[in-house]
Amino acid sequence: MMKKILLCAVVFISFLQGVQAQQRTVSGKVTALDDGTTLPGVNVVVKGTANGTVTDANGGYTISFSEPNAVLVFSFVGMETKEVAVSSNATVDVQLGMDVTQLNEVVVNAMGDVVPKDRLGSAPSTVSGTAIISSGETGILNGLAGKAPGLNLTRNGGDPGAGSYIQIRGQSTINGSVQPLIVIDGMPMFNTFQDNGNQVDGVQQQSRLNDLNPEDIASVEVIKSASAAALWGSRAANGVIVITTKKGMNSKGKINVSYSGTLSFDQVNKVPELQRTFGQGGDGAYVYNTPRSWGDKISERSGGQDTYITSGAGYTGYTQFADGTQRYRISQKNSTETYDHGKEAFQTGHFLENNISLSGGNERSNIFASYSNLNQEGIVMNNSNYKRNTARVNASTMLTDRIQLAANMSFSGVSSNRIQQGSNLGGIFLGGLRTPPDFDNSFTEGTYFNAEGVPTLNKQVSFRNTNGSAGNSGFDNPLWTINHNKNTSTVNRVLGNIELNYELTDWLTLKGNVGVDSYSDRQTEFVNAQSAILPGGAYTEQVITEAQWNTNLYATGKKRFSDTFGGSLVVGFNYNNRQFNQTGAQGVGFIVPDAPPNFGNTDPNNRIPFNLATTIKTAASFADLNVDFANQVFINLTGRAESSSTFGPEAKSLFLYPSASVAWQFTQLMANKSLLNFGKFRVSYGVVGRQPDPYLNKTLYNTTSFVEAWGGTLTGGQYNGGYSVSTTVGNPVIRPERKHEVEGGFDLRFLQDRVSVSATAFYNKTTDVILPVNVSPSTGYANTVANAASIENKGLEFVVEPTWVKTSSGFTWSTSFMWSNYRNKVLSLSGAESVFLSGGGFSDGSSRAVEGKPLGVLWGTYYDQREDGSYVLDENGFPKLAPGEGVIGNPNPQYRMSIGNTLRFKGLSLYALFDMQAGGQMWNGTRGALVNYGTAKSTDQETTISANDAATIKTFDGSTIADAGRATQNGDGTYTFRGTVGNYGGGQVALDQAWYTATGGGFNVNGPFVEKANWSRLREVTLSYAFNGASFRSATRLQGITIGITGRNLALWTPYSGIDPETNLTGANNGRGIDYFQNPNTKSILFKLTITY
Amino acid sequence: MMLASGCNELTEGYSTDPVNITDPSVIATGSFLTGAQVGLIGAYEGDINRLVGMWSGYFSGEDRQYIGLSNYGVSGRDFNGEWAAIYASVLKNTQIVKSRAHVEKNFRALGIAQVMEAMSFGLAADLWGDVPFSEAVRYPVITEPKFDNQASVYNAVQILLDSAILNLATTVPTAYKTSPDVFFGGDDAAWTKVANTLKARYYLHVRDYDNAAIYSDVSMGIDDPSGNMMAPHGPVYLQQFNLFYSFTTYDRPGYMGANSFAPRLIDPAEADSRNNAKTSEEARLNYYYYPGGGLNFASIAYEPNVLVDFDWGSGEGYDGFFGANTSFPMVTFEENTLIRAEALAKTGDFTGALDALNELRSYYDNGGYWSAGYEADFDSQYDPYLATDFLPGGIENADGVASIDALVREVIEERYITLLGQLEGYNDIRRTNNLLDIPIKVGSATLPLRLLYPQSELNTNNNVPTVGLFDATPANTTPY
Repeated sequence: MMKKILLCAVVFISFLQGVQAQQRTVSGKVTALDDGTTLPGVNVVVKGTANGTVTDANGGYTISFSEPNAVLVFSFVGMETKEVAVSSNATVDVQLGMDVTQLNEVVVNAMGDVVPKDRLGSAPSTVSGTAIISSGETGILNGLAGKAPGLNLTRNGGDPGAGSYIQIRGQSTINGSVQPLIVIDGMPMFNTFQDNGNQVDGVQQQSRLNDLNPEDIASVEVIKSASAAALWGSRAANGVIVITTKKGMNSKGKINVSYSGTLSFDQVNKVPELQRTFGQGGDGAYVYNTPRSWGDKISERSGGQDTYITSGAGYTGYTQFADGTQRYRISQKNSTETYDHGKEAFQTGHFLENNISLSGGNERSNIFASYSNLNQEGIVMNNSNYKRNTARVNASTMLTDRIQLAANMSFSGVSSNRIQQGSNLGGIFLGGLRTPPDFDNSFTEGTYFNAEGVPTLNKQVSFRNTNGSAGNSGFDNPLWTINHNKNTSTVNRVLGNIELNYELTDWLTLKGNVGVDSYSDRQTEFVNAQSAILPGGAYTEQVITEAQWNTNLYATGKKRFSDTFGGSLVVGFNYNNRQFNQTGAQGVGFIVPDAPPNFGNTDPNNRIPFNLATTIKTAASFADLNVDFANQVFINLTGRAESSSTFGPEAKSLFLYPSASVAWQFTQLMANKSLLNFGKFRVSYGVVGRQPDPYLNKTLYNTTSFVEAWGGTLTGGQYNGGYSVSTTVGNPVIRPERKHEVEGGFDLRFLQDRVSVSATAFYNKTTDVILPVNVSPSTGYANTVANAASIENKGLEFVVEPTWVKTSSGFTWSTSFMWSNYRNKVLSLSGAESVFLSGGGFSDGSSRAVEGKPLGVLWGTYYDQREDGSYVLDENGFPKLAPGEGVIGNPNPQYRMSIGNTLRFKGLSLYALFDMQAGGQMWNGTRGALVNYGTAKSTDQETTISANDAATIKTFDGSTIADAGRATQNGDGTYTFRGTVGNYGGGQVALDQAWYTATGGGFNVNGPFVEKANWSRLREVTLSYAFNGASFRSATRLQGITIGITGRNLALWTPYSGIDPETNLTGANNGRGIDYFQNPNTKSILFKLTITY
Repeated sequence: MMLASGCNELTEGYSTDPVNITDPSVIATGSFLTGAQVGLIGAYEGDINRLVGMWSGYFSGEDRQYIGLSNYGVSGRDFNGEWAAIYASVLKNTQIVKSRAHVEKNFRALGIAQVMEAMSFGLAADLWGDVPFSEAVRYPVITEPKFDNQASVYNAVQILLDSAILNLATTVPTAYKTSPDVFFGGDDAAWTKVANTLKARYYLHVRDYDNAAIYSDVSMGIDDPSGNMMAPHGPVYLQQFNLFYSFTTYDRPGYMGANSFAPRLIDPAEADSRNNAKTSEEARLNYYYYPGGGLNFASIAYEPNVLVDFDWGSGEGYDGFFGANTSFPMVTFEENTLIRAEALAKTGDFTGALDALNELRSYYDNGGYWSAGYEADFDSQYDPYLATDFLPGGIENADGVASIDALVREVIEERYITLLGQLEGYNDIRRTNNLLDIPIKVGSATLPLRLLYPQSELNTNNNVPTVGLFDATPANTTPY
């Protein structure tokens, strides 16, 4: 892919020596070694002469010369240079391999301009479009995982279309988004994560970046350095990801056609372990409809049909299922059957993606067009899918010799349906994993006949409503949920820009780039009338639209004052206008329960419309000065003066964002380059920022909404139109956050570029971090928002890329080794003990900012310990809860590392990416809850103790094991009980039901459920073969066919006991490391076919 | 720089939220008044009420966090909501009403706002003792209000109520005669009686029985159930549900039951219930509680009666006390009568106290405040007590204490049941040094004697006093 971008860069500038016919003529074809595609525009020169040509659109060339022992030199930017002796051949075909170290590599800077990487004073990471596509991920974001050092990606989960959290160089803000700015072809685009404020429940939301077709991407630059990002000022605090899409090239009029098809099969990769030994009930006995599984031992039952109450006392009617069976209230469990509730709602998901692209051009114009269709069925058995259609046209033409007009335009249509998750009575896992192992969820509904024989059709049955007699399912049966609740999203998006480039003189170019990104996302949520989420049902429909216009105007002047001194200056202007609108309504309580979604099917009092709108305007002027000395020292200075609408009239509103960087290619001074052939030191400093969210400057007055802690709500609308002043007081002097960063590093290449090494160290400090600050509630307000915190990040990044083997037969083995570590610290919170992050989880079990600690630390309740580490115990020897809450874990990794190995031999290629995170913790709230419910695997332990111990060892409720009524006495006088014996320093105690349903369980304490979440995974293995030999081409008239097979997440090693720890309940929010019944991640096998014509 | 100044022009004028109100002057004073009233309902009926209700023997914690909370396992964070309800939801908005009422000559809104402020500061003093008053609600001038001592806050509450009574008596322009007031539609007479009953309530809280008797007199306080200040509710979840109903039936079913002291005290099936030859509480029991469970619990001894026809098909006239539509009592004729009974008894007027008690029993004997269906289907009997009933050996004095003490005990017990589910029930227990012996959780010497100061205030205000959950508030440190 790289070669195509490079081609774009050089196609207008490389040219063209005249060809003088002499005695001999040789012709041939130049193709790419890796995929067999033909290479137009390759320089072909007779060595030692100025005699040369370039290959045509089909890679063909013809050259004449007179030298007797001519050697042809084939060179092409970004590819290895090859010398071939002609001898007596009339035809010389050449395959050029990618230059793995990418000599003279160019990268795209933050403004979207192509610059040589070796002159940069900072180190962006480049991920090629090919690498993203080969990952087999449907979305660009997940395709980046493990492929750029220091780019931390966490999937929102394995649901189709789920978005991802991106973190570049650590979190540097608390209140605002930590997601980087995405710039595509010079135009900022939305990567919104629209969670509707639903942070611990709802569905796995999408990231809007994934609306793009990965096959359209030429390359992605991850710009981590503040100095390189500073031209985006207050939008660049989290770094910038610059995406360049594919362009057409000069093919002398020929149209290149490429088709690719991918078929993927996806499965759940890891689910929490559950016990299947003990049944529904409590105190070792079956209890009808009880939420917990502290019942009898299933294996000790008699077997056969359960005993039903079919009449008389306790008769509560029955449910008649479609298969003719009936289920009554159970008086005694006899059946010994158990069920796997971890995977019962999942299937092998799959997707099929078809992509076709056309490209071509001539000397003046080029065009690239593509269409793709993706159709995915998720791993959840029903109502879980993702469909994406994209179309793109990128075209450019020289209107005159000096004026170039280019336009890039893409359309996306994305629709999806998802099942809810998380802290949600209708989530798959919440109801599913809590289901007792002896309850069969596969009977989901039937006709319920009450004790008087009155039928209710389509009644949901669940383990808390086993025969349909209760009003409510308690927790929804997951197999019922997936067929009855729907959550759709339909996105239509237009994204594009037009660029006019006017080369006014040889040294001065004017450029204008105007773009738009506009989408609408129509979301619906249908909650069936029988769902526990909201008894009576609810329907919510909303349309979210976002649109931004962006204009860049700039002039670039270039001047060389001498061979050793030159420079360029860019002066420009940027104007950006973003609008957000959300309009929708909710209707609660269906009049006709099973009607189609229609607000008319609710009481008018139960319809709640809502709307929201924001406008953010940013205007800036900027300058970018580049100077180079002696071909070895490169200096870059940038500055941006920016004003934004998010500050009120009382605040200062013009802010400056400067940067400076220096690169020194010290190897220019060295005579002997046989070992070290290239070396560069670089150092930079830059300031970037983050705008305040809009409208923080004024206090709002809204219709009254009194929401008490547990959810109960009273609204002014129902009480004669009450209005109230907001509890958040406006801050009229809010300023942007500012991140200052210094960075230094070096880039080295050894042995004629066989080995490249890059290292970077940085330190940054964000000041004026915007924070919701508590105000003493007795002042009449609860909080405000202020520039009240500071955060520092420091880190190291290494990339080592050796080519171990490179034989003349065409075998290569190269490795890309990446390592990064970051250390983050909240320096000041202006006295606040802790700050709950957006998406921080729950009030107990959360991710927070705490002074002196890394951002995002896990926070919650824990067992009280004295300074010497001993537990504070109750009278029975059990640990007591500490009176308050505190830091209980750290989700931030120690370091991250990835190793990618590529082996190639002719058309065969094997790539394996091993990815790991060392350190980092998660709060396994899922396990905490399941321990309480008695379905966690760890609760199936049984312990036998002597009669003596049974009479003395205390249970948490103050009894002894012998007296608690939960242990069975064996023939030899010993006692067996469900649980273990523990010791917290006050002697032996029984950890049984009494303990786990109280202080030992996850609803009462968080600390013990924080687990190590380090992981290693075989993230990707791709084996592909390209058919592109001459005989194949002549036989098929195709340029090539590539077939490939890719495995994603084939192996995962982790001590974490829950689902794949590369997840977070609250998705791409700022809170990290929260696990509470979210839907699991996947592993996949993909088959891919690519045909180029 | 020329470009830069141009930047400002391009971005100016978009700093104000386009869909939310940032200029309060466009909102009518009456809207802020009703907004504050919603907050007041929340403060009196919302989550703290359930918490102290579990401590008071009205409810039981049956699941999850409610088990710990019911066992006094609380931290400052559990009280953030109540504190904010009082200071932000009510007082910040009544302050706006007051500041405008003078200009608009809307003395009715002013008076009502003052009554609500008195109820808010009074409640805060009841629950926490020393609380911010003189420096409260003055952001940004005062960012860390000082804590005024409880006695001075109670004093200030009386002054606020006096002022409210004067303002309610002031003639207002006709336009203000109708009011969005959700409690009484702006009826100044009704508000005046509420204000007097509140004066009596807060005098009672500081053991000033003489004044409590004066202001609870039929000529001053609420003299008829039609004058009750009731929080209205309706059938829309997340909008106007009775907050008990929202919690027990929609938000957290199964968390809170009523395996507790209060239902057993009135259940005729219980051997030591308060039913006697003159009293049958069966109707009231069933109105409050659902013996045997079966609503939100499969089976339990008692659970809060949340019946309402639209969810349970229970039929008209069977709305439970905790039903979705059931109005919640805030200041009532019943309370006023019992204040009078207690205050007179405590000042030695046995006859006056007994008359007051019997006045209430007569009301109950005629169907009381419970839904008609329960009165029709269950035993309900409240014959007048005679002085002899309180003599040693009488039906209300089995243990042979002085008559007047037996009467006080009966009044307190009647208050306990009449004020069931209300914060005033918890106030009584602390005020009377747990005269009724409400059970205390194992491992604790006393009931919690106050609320903890909220974490939100502790985090932001250096003036917060240091106290513990079992430290009585100053007003309750003297014997009852």
